[in-house]
Amino acid sequence: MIKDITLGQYFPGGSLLHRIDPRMKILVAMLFIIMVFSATTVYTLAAVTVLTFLLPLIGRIPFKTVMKSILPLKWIILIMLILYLFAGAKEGDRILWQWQWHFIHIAFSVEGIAKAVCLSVRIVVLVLSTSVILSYTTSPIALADAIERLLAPLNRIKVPVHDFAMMITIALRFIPILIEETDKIMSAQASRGADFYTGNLVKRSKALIPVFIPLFVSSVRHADELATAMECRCYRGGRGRTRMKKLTYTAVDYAVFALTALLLFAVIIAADHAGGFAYL
Amino acid sequence: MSFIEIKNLSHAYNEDDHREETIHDLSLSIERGEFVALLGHNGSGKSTLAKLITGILDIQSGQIIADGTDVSKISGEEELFALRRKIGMVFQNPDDQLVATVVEEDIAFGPENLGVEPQEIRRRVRNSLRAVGMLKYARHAPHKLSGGQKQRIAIAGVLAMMPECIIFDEATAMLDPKGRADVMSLISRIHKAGITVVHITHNMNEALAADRVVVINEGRIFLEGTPSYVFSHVDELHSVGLEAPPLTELLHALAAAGYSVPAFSSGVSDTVDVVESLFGK
Amino acid sequence: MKKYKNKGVSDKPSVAKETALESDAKPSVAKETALESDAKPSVAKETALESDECIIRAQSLYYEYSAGTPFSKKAVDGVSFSIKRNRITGIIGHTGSGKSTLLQMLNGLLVPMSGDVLLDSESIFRDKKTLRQARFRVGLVFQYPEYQLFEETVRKDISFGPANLGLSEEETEKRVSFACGFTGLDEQLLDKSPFDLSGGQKRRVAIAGIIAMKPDVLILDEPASGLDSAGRRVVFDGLVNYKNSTGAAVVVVSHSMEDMAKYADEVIVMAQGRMIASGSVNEVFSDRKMLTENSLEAPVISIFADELRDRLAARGIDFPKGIYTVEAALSAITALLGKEGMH
Repeated sequence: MIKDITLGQYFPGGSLLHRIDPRMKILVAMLFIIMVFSATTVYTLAAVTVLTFLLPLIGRIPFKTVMKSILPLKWIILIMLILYLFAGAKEGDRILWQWQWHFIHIAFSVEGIAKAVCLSVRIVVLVLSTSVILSYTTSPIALADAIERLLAPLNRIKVPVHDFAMMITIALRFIPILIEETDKIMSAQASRGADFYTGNLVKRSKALIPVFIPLFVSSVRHADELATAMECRCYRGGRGRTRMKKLTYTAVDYAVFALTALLLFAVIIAADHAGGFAYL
Repeated sequence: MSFIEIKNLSHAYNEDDHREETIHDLSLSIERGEFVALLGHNGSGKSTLAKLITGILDIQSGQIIADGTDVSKISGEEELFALRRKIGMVFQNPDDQLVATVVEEDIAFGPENLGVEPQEIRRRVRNSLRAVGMLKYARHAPHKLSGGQKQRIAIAGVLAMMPECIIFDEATAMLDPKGRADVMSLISRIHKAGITVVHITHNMNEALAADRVVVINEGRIFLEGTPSYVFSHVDELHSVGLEAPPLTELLHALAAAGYSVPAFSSGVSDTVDVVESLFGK
Repeated sequence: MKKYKNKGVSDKPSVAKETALESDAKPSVAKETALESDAKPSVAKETALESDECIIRAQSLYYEYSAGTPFSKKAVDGVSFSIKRNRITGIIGHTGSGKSTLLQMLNGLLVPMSGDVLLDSESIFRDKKTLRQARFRVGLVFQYPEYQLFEETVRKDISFGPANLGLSEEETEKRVSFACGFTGLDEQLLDKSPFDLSGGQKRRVAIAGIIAMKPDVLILDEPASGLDSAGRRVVFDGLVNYKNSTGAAVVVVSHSMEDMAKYADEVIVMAQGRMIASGSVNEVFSDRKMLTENSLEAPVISIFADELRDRLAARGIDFPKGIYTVEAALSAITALLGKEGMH
């Protein structure tokens, strides 16, 4: 049923990853991104990769679900591989095979292949780690909330942080309603003989007018009624507003942050002393 | 002094609003702790009245005094908030009242706006959810609940603001019989807890539960009194496109056929007695 | 599932037999039903004559949402029934009983996972042509249809369906006034914007948009929800009118047992995706046990009539069965009082 759509990839649960303060998770995810880019040697990248593949275990996310989010990356990876293979080799690379015709120079080198593989791994690790730390284990609403609180200092320079966060919240709330409505309006117009699926592009776009206009009218009506209801509940933006959920960092949050920072430090040091293995 | 005093209130929408609802020189007072049903056909002006009371619409002429405050003279935000905290509103479409994507966060929305302490908000959220019988849905997403459940969440959201009065603006109109019955029994409980209830509806059976029924037609008070008084005026109700509850309609038809029966039916067994007595002792 | 009626020739005797077989515990009920059908021979004859007049046959329809996932949910499960021409068939059931899913299969908007829908004995799912024909012949009005209005004027909006049918401008114009007639729309409204109308008027414009397609089967999901009693009456009277003047089959989903008692000829009861009962209003509404089991409340007049019948029986007065409306109760009471000379 269309009602059952879940927004984002949130996977409810009570694991360690679920329990970390969402603000801290955003910071940890940032550290992780830096870490992935600092892992410029084969060993450090391998270590970061192992760490990343441990994350779904810690978050108790089924591995199959996680793999689904990487699958769309296959085309990007393929293109990267081809680009690196054909980009030619640098001087001093161990060339395995090459072919030259006027300006076109194609060369396979040990270093080229290693770079391509490492880059692919890096992309996978990047997507996997951030999605497990953020989207799989944090509800969209908690994320919006965390962003609002992290950006709160910007309020002082008159950036309407609260308003943006409220917009995201309301959008998240109304997306399922509007999807359901679209479905209903399309069925209703189909019952009056509207045909959305045949004809050329112009005809098909025109066929959508009877869907878009009612949908637009309905969105305006929702907005109007919601605004009235919010006014009745004394809403006036962020001024004077308290929050039920006071986010406070716990010892676990600090520990996780410290551990991630330590790992990042270790990766940077290790990459510096990698010697001949620093391909990237 | 009454809790809400409406004096010579008139209101008309501008051309652009495309709404024909108007209010003409309407005066009405609602006592503290009373359960009043505002009855009228679609477009009779009932909802406009509710929006004027809570200061959503500006008063054009006349006066509304709510708990001692002259609504038309309210200028500051603080005063307006004090009024809206005191008089909560529940609307027709349950979807258009819920703001958050988690039930408990939605209920917290009102108290949060009022700047209530987090600890206290938590307590109120729990109490409100318990009051509407939805405690176990605290962590659910509203869009997966039924219409009746969503409406109960909306009511809990208003209760969490500790109102003295709640106006239900056709709050049962979009619900199925089960949801309707749940919300109606909740409204009765809210009334029994001492909160003033104004229930706007065009459903006769729902109006029966009220202390007083006010029939509004073309923006004027057409008929006013206890349910038994109002519903025994069946011809008058028909003249403004309303009907009495079926058993009262039956008694009215019997009376019109020349039988001497009371004008109002208070229930099935009562009416059976009445009709049986027509067959002699 | 309870079926009160056998499709077929000798209608009435089989009712008594079936009911008797099914509820051995309640022999009196079976007898009563038999007695009652004797009392109304004209109705019985009519039903027998027209039982072949069925326009839609639903055959063991099955539909499941999110099939093949852990969230799968049976919406309609093995439902069979037939819809007759020149009848108003009511479908009752709680939210989530599968009513809406069922309706969408009847005009081919949803394809059943198994089972079939026959329109004049031909499957509507046979090919694209039959499917498109079904769309036009079976008009479906969704709940809150006013939310589908989109044109600049009421006239254009009502013309949308007829135009999709490929009718000439002249014929379309005729259809618009035809539809206005049944929905009680003032033709002066035709050049207004639909968005300027009142809620009740919008509703009627939306219903007119389907009626203008002159469907052989007109299906409506809660056509009167949110309307006051005057608005309800206009909508239902229009449906009765449409049925009477075109001989079309009208199918109405409603929560209101009162409306069903007043307007429907046949009733289908749905619960948890299954058909629980079907038959005439009389047959279904007199099965109080089935109604209570499915937490459906019988019309208050019928509860009153039952109590009165018991009371009068003690006095040796026979109060008729099958009273569900104020009008019927009134005429039954006055007739008895007249006979008893109690006036």
